[in-house]
Amino acid sequence: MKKLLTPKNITFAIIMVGMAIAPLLTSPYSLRILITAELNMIFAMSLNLLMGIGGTVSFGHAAFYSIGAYTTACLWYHFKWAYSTSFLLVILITGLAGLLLALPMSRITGRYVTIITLSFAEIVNLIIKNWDKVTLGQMGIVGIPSINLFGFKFTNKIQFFYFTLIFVILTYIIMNWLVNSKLGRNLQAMRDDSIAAEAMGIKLFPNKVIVFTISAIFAGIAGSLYAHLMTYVEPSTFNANLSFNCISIVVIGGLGNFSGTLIGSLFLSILPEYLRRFDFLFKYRMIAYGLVLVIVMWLNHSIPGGKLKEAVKGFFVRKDKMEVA
Amino acid sequence: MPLLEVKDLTIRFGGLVAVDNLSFTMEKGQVVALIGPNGAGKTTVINLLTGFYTPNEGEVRLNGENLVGMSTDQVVEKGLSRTFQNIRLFSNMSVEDNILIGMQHRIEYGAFLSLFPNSKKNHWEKEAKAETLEILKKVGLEDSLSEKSTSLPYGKQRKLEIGRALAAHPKILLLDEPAAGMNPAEKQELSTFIRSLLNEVDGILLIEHDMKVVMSISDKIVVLNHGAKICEGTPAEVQNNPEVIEAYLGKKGGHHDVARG
Repeated sequence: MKKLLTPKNITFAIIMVGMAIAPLLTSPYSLRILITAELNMIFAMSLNLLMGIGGTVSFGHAAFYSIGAYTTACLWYHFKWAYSTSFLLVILITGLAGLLLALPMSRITGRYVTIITLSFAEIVNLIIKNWDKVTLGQMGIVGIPSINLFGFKFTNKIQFFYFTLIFVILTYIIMNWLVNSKLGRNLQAMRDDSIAAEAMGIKLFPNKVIVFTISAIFAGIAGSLYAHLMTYVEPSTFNANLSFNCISIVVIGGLGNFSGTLIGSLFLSILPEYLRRFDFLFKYRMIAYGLVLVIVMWLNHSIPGGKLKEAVKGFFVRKDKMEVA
Repeated sequence: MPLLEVKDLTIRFGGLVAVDNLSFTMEKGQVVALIGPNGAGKTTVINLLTGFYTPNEGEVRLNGENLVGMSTDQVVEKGLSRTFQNIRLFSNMSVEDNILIGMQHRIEYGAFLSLFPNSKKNHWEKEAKAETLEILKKVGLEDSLSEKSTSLPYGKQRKLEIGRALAAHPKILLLDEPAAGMNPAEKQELSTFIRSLLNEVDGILLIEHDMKVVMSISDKIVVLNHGAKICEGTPAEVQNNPEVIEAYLGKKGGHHDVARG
């Protein structure tokens, strides 16, 4: 039991209790923002697994989110599949997509990873935009019903909120199981020093493939929930901005710190909405948003578990120097 | 049959022959030291033995089995484990986790079972953590179990790296300049420590610049210069070999005669 009461897990518990009682206190509008925050939590935790534990910065994580969203949307549109069945295909297809993106990773490191992940997201987006027969192209798919779970239909947003909350909790728990296992340790070793990891007998490539696949699956789950929340999907939603926003959440919360990611998600989901109120004062709320981000970065140690300095350093210093000592 | 047999090992990087026709053997229970001036190719030899580089020619036989062409993870499983010249610990991980990585190839549950609690995972984790504690006791770090590896003082980081290599249960331990950056007292202690490691492993291959350490713990010394072996023998033999003295200090009576002074 003692092992469970870490500061991170306590933070997690507090946030979850807060989230659990939140619907009783808020308006439908705020509830919708909180559901968005929940989706961001799952999405960002999946990226944090890849970035914070796996040590690979993906600038195209929105690709998996959109694949998840479109898989469930297309299955409903063409075959009228309910969420309980399409969910399995979401896992399968996003997992395969993650695997596909991991394949070139055996040969590249550093900045090339950035370029490949960024272009992967762009390619996925272009496919969605142009594959008219399946995705309906630019029009998008509208009228997706709320979640139908083995015949039980979610009629209001409160049910949706709690359903998503279960996914958040499950994601957090699975991430923690993973991190404290052989796989998680091997991934962290590769992140810290890939040469030493190799010298200890870790096979780098299979581990990379696995972490990409798992990360993609969780991002896909978040995306599939998004489709049912919004009731429509269109290609322009899943742009590079979505990926960058996700990276911001992970970096603010701290690399490898999953409870920090939850705080980051709440923060970056609520802040832009809150700033909307000041539209009458000045129309440049995105500037204010940017300023707040910068200030948060400066005050990084004031955020629980924030490892921002290391995170920023990690962006600019290549850890995976290729020479063998 | 020797424990380790290196035969005609050669690697070229472009026009440079970094290791040139190197042959030597190691018997069970020996500490063999590889010495030579800077750039002699000592670390390259370790990289060749552990599968980081593939030699152009030659063989590396461990108990008769040729290791050439194997990947690094296969070499670890066969029983070679190394440390690095500039310490390469997993810097954001705890002391315990560093040792656990060392024994990761002996922990037999895969990626899928890592994702949720199950009896196989619990069993291996429990066993691995118990063994970790034992290894940490051997290297004198049992009190630093949950500390971050890079927060340890330098000498202890070296010990941790050796502990990590030991955790792989190697037959041969390859130590790349373990005494670098240590003070005389620490070096003295390290020498005794390395010698005591022969209880854990069958043999130790050591690269070291500090002659006091080398002479006090080695059974056999192999001297390299420009990638080629110039001499091999017991510490006493090597110390009096004119070629070795020349390689280290220059030729007597030559223009750059430093030996005379």
